[in-house]
Amino acid sequence: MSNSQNVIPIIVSTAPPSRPPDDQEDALYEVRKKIYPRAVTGWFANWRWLLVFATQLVYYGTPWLTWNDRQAVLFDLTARKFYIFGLVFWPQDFIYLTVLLLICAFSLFLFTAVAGRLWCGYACPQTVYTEMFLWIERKIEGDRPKRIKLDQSPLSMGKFGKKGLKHGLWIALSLWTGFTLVAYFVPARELFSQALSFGVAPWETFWIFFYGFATYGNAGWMREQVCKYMCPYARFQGAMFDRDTLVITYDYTRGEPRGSRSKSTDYKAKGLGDCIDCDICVQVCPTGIDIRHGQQYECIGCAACIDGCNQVMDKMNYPRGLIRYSTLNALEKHADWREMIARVFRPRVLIYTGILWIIIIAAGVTLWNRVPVRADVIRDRTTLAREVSGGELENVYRLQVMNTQEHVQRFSVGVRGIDGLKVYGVQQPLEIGPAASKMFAIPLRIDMDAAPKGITRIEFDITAVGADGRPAPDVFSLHEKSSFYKP
Amino acid sequence: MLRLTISILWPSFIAAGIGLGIIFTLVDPMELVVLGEHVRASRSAIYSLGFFVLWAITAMAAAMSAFLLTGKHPGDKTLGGEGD
Repeated sequence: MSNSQNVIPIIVSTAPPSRPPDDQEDALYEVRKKIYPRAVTGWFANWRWLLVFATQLVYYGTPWLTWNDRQAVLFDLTARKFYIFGLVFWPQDFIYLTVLLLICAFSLFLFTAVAGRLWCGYACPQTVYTEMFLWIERKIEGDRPKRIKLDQSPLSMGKFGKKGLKHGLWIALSLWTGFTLVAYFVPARELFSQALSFGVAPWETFWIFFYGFATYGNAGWMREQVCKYMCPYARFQGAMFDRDTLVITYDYTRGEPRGSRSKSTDYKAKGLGDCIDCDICVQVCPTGIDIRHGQQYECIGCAACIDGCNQVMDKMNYPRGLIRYSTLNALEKHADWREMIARVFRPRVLIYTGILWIIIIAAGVTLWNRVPVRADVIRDRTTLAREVSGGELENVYRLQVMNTQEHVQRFSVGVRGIDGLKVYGVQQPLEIGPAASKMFAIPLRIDMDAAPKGITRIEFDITAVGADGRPAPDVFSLHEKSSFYKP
Repeated sequence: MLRLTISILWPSFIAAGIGLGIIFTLVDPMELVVLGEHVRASRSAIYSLGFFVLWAITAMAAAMSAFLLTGKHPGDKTLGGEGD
């Protein structure tokens, strides 16, 4: 061992130790300034509204769909069964939930790599509910300038009425959102009639208000702060970005030097760029940033500034796209959209796509080949091997069967492994009801002399029985290992 | 203060949700034995209470982390100070 390993280098700092300010929170967290996003119309705003309608139609509508005389999508936690249209999932199917989450995660990675924060800008519940809450706010209080004025004005009957109405509608929408969430776990129709007669069970009531309060708080009050301070995706999405990812960009070389001017001015002669410094892009921004400062982590990619700027460009008779979706590479090289599309097929995107397809295909195949019945055999340890009349030895097994289908299943139980071993006293075929789980006691008997001493491996065969009473192994045929014991 | 509260309660909320999902997928609350007694409550009550117990524990962990990171410590320049 050399001596050098024992030497710990110590660097003496000569700088005076810095003291954090007394109230650290003041230093760490800037005070939030309320943001009054201005209404915006245009191509991207329409897309966002389309997604608001699509996602909320699914969210609010799904609990009311019926399938096989029951709620089509019901996560019945109290019965520990999940119904999703024709499928019934048991806790044993946990793997499918994991796979679903994996698919969601890789889809998100893929979308992010190609087009940045598409999820944030158009489909995230935080964006969607904020959009809905803002719409209510705008209908009651007016657009940005009116809202700012209203907030600055002293409390009056008019202001009180407007604010009261706004919050009333917000709360109503929030409670309906909370109700809908709970309706995924408790049958919606029952819950609705209970709600009408104020007879909702305490925990269900609690969760309706809990989720309602979260909606009201997040979409009404917190808004962009959720994205800035609470969202983990907002923090790590940068890892999926590269120089070919579509982001919302301000064309600096075209826009600068910015400055106000009248429409008739020959601005180029005055040395001005295309940006007229109208501040619309800042006013429409739901997170209150100025896109002209370049890429910022607060930008949720909602493209409101693109819509706003394009309208201004139209009014000025300048070409659109001073603020536009572009990539850092394209912006630098002045590449057109063809080159941008060509760069979509880069290794990162191909790898994400490949992994995603592998998971989707694997999940599809396993779901397609899913056995309609699950079985589990355990030797009953409470009744050990015993000798019964006629010189026979008996072991008793507990057969747990779960039906993942919504019709009755019939099946027979047989056993292999020892010659002469047979199922005794069980009325075959056995039957299990729709989406049920049932325990059967299966005694096995064998001639005392034919039974090998000690523990012998055996295998149960659980085979479907068709309507004609004959075995139908193509429906399902399960093999469960167990052991037979002779003392 | 609000942001500090949120950054403690929110990640712990997510962690508690994941924990609850895993625990009660594997364990049927009806088979729970607490201090030698079977729990006499509905599944939804156990799920809900279980969630809050988990949330309290995860929030405690998050609060301790927050305290260790922001609490004053002589010569600490890693966080809260000007260092990165």
